[in-house]
Amino acid sequence: MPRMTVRHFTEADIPIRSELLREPHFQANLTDFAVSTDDDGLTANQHRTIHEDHQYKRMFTMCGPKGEIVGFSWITSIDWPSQSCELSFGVLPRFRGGLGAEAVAAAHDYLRAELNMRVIINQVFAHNTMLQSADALATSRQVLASYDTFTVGEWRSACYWTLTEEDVQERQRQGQARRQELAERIRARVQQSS
Amino acid sequence: MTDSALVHDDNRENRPHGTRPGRQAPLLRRQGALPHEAGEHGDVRPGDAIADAGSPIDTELSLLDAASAVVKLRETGDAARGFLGLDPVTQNDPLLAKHLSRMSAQVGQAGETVVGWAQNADQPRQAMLATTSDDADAVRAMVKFLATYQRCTSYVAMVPAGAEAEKAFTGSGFREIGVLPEHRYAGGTYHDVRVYFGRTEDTCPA
Amino acid sequence: MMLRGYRSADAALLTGPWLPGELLGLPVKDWPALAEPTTIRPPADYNEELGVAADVGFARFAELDWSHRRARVEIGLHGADQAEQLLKTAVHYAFTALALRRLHGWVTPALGEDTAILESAGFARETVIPDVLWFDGRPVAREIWGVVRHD
Repeated sequence: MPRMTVRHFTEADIPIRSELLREPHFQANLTDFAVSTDDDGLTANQHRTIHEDHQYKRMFTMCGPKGEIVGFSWITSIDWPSQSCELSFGVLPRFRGGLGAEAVAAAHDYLRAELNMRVIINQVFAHNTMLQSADALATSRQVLASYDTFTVGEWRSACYWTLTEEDVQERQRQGQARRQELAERIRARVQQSS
Repeated sequence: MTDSALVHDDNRENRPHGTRPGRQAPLLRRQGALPHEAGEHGDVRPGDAIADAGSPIDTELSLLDAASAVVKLRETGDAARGFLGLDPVTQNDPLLAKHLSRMSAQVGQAGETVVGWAQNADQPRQAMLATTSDDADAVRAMVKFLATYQRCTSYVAMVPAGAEAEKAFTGSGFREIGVLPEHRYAGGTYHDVRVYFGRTEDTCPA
Repeated sequence: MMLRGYRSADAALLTGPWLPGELLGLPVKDWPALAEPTTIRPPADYNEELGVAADVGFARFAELDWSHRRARVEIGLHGADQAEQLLKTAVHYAFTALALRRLHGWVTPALGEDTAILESAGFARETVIPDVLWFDGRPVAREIWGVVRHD
């Protein structure tokens, strides 16, 4: 059973996501439009995305090892000819800090391997350390847009970066190299002590 | 958005009617021969007949309504990828429903297997078929239904290469008539789609 | 030759005696006198594209699938002399502007078209499906010709 799976967002998921849209950290970290939208409006909005807006926006539900809902992801600014899109995440409060990185990886895998997206743009506000540490954000960002979005009473700066196939492969290569280096160090230590 | 090249193309406004007298057989330029080259009309070949319309078939076919069809295809998961050109992995339920409706497709259950077909709007006695398992009897049940109740005489299937469904078609008398190279994208790479064809006897010629 | 978006002034280029869906849309000989010509409609949604080569003809991409990166292509002209160039332009447009990877189309042998143009544009015959179209009073076979971009 894979650790994290991606499935289509359905009607049954709407109430859970609506609650997430109104959660204070979410509002500060992504968008606070849900504050000024009534319940019916929020539901109708998501309903329309499920049923009609396939060209413009697609939503997914991220599930953990036991099939439990961990959070949601969605793509916008979909440029079908260019195979590019912008990817956003919302993780439920109780799962933050745990399965975050895996959720990101699972979403990227799906977008590449099944929807055939080649360039995936990440946008994260500079103060948001839910899925990345502040240092990681500072290193990976390619663009910093000051006064990008106003949420919960403050202007937020946004970090943008793209992940191409080559980036993903490079990251895998680096990960493999690190694991290999670690294995060799352990081997050397074992040999020393024996 | 389908593998089906037989989907009714709504762009057509009108087409030529009537018979033209005295038409000569055209000279055709062809390079090389395909393994199963059919003549202009599609010659009936020995072994084309799939199921004798009169012989009993054990597998029962039941029809599914539009909503149940989508539920069943979703449950079937990976085996439904490429079913009448659909893909439950990249298409959510409303999208699946929309495409089934556009094709005027009918989905059914033959034994344990979800099957389906879409009538060829350009030639109503032909249907595009799909199945989700290697069970040849499920295909036979579907063909028998179409031959008996829709006067179908020829059947086409476009199946992702390597899918279980291929065995269901070859096992029920269909023959491979071609390959559409790299026609589908799934699991990070492009895949071929194989085209299968079969006939049943015309029990009520016009 | 370049493809551009269609305009209302292109109406004459989008109507003609073509067999619907035919890849190589040359005028069909002996078009029945009482039959309306085929009219190409504007794209219904993001799964269709239509381009016009000024004063020559059109190239239509139908059944567009952006994940499978493929489309079914048809061209249409009133005369045969620029068919090869229009077809090559259509293929180039699909593979560059639309970044597609594969094109396929229908060829009806009963029309007696010269398929050399298709081959020179990179298409190859992939299958022949019997009885797939009702034409001239009987069911006829149609071939699928396709081309895959190799980078």
